[in-house]
Amino acid sequence: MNALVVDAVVRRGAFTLEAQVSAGPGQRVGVVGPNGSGKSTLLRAIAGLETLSSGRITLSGRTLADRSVDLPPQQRNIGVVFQDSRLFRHLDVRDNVAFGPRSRGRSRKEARAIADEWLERLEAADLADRRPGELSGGQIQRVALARALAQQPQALLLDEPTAALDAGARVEVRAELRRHLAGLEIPAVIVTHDPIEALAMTDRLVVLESGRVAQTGTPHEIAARPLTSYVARLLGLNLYAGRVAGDRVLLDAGGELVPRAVPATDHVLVTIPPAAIAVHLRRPEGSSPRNVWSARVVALEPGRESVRLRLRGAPDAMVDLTPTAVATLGLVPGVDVWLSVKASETDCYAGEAG
Amino acid sequence: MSRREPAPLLLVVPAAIAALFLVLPLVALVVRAPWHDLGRLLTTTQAVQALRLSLLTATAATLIAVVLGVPLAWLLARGRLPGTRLLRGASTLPLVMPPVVGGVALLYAFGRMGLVGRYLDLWFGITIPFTSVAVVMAETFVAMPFLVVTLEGALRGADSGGEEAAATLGASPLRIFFAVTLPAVRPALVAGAVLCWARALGEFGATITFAGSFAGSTRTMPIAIYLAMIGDPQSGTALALVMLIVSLVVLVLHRERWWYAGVLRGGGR
Repeated sequence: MNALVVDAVVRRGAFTLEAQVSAGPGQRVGVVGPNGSGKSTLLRAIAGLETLSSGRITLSGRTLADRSVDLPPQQRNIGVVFQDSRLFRHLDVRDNVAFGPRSRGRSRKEARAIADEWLERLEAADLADRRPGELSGGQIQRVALARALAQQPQALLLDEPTAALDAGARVEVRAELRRHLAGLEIPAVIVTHDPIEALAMTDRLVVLESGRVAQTGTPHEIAARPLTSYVARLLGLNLYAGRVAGDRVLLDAGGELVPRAVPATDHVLVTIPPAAIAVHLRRPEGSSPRNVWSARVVALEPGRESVRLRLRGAPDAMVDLTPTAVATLGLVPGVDVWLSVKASETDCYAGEAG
Repeated sequence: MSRREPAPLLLVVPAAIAALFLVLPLVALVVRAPWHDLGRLLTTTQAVQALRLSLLTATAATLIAVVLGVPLAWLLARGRLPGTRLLRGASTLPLVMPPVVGGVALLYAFGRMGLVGRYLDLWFGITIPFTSVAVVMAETFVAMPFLVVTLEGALRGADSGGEEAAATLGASPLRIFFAVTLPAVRPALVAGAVLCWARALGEFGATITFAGSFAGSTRTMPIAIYLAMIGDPQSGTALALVMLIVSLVVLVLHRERWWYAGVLRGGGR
């Protein structure tokens, strides 16, 4: 089994990371979480750039770190693509990619041949003679990937590989990475705070919050039933925590909702897509929707096809409306409105407030 | 264009005096130099010997400073050993110490009766003081700290990201040092080496104390100039002019930074 199995505890001052991640050969595991959740620390611990306080990391059955072992990065044979690429500025692209093979004992000529092979594979052969300073953000990350792979690592780590790019390059690089990663037969761990990246590039997701694993599952599972407000916000879902009382849910933050169905537990989470909530200027009469409450518009954020309203009420809500609807209703910050949502548009499942 | 107030006179006047004070002596030297006789004065055996000795010893001292000082700078910047701060203080002391004191100290260490010199003499029959080797040692002692201090600052400020990346690519610590760390601080290394060389070239106090003034073997340019000014001011002035020109050349090269061109070209991100 060429799997990467991580059970890492890293203490640094008041912060403790305690996370379990595993990735099989060819599997792409995403680690998502807010800033300061310990994503990068986890990645650095796997790479050997951070020492474990306790726990164990194994790769292909080989122990990289545990109570008595702490292999240096050189001996872990794990490729890393850093957020800021960290290409060597004084070397051209070919020698950057050849650096790994050269460090691992190949002759200069062999190493360069390997580099050319990888650049060819990643469609970057034309960049071989350039310096990193002459590359675009997208090209830089392509070269960084080639450099990480040229040493034939047994696992690959990517730390927010598109975070340093502008929006256009991000889309392009994401597609490239997705394509190139798909052909790999080694475990890959991708740290990201970009929901699209997490959903598009990974087979499994690990949600980290405050140094702990808050949720794991397929991107689909997590997108459908997020357990943390962080993920819900990433996905643009309204997420409410509450307690079951008959067929209704009393929300922790105030208000109540009648969901489609309630599970047989005490603590539940309810999600509502922002487009499923209707906005009225007067209280809707003879309403078929089971859920109606009043709220005040606090902000409008124009998006590409719709306007996102942020409303304060019991409960608070995000609502997506068409620009036409916003204009027709005369919605501006400060306006009081009524919100309604059908029970069938809500999803209710077991979970604690995250 | 932003509005510019005229500079206050209280600043302009002392500034002008300072600038004049620094430039005037150099102008005087150039004006009073024995231009008509320069060729003869600079081709005397004494002059040629002194210039040759100075260039050779300063270059040797700089090479030694690079070979020994670069690792020292690295250790001071990255070392986690206890006593690093003490070591830093000790290794930069020659920067602020009068060079002649350095010369005396060198005598007590490497002189025939010195701490180490005694055994060099006793066991190997090696005598260092008053030889060309002593000149190089005196210059290294005084000039190496310039290189160490310049490079240490750069190493300390350098981002360790590249080194981490190199480690994940399998590079040994030594390879990381030579293939990643040093290239990243190359401008500082060059600047430090230039400063070191210039300082070594001008060394006087430690050299005359530890190495003396023997024509051909220890009489460097500064010493030759000093001695000439007593007996034969014309030739002393000519030699001084040569050193001034050497300094100017170093300054201009340093300012132009032509040797950084490669690094700048590869710069960017």
